[in-house]
Amino acid sequence: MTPEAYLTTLGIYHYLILSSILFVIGAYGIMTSKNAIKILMCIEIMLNTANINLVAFSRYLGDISGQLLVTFSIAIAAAEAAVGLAIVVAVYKLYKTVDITRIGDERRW
Amino acid sequence: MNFELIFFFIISLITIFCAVSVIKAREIFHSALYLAMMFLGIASLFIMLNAEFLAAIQVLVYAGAVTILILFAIMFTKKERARAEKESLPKLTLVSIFLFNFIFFISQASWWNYVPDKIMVGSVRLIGSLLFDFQEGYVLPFEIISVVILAAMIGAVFVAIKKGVKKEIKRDATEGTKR
Repeated sequence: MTPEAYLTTLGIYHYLILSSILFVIGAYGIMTSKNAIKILMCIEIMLNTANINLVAFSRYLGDISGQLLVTFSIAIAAAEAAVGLAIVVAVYKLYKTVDITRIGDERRW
Repeated sequence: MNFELIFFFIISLITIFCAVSVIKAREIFHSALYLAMMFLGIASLFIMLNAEFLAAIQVLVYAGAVTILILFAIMFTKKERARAEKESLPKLTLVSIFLFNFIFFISQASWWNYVPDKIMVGSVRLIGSLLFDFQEGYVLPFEIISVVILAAMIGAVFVAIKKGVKKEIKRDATEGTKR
């Protein structure tokens, strides 16, 4: 695909590149941030990029089951956010902080 | 450059800006608000992809419920003086390598160079008929998802509850069985 083609018609490539950029931003946020709640936010970003990919493929391949899979993925992500934030609140009650460098021992990549 | 492409670029710029701001914002409260903005940007991308139902779900579940949940968790935890997070060059290099790999393979691939002749409109009806089709549908995963959400709800309450309250509940339960 020539570079000019990216600037003339909107295709699946645009959505895939956008979602890979967002995925990388989320991964960088998980690796650098120290606040546990911010890490959960970055996980939400990465889950959303997977959803963009699924919907883009479903649109450009003409198959509706990709959107169905996104519905399930959103439900799982909501459950994950609820449990994760509950764990963060429980950890805060124990350690009086949400800074992950001061929780437990210091081992983290 | 057609109108759709310009619209896509504007939305994607807003979304990427908000995603970077989630990481870079000093106050964690501001990152949560930027996260809500990013969810709305992704919902508009879903509308551009003819997935109106998913856009509505995205606004309801993510921009509504998950953001409110995160804001509540921020309010429950103590407001710490935000320390500026260190830029880490090795990690930045690592994710850049990944990004270039992604973009390289996406631009190399040509086997899905295909646009369907009919655009799916009214996807709510299609999703519903596929979801509740008893022969080849997704009825069982749908039911399992509801059990998963119920278990997550109970688990979240049980994890976040106070120690004393937990003992009280247990004592009430044992007294209830003795009675």
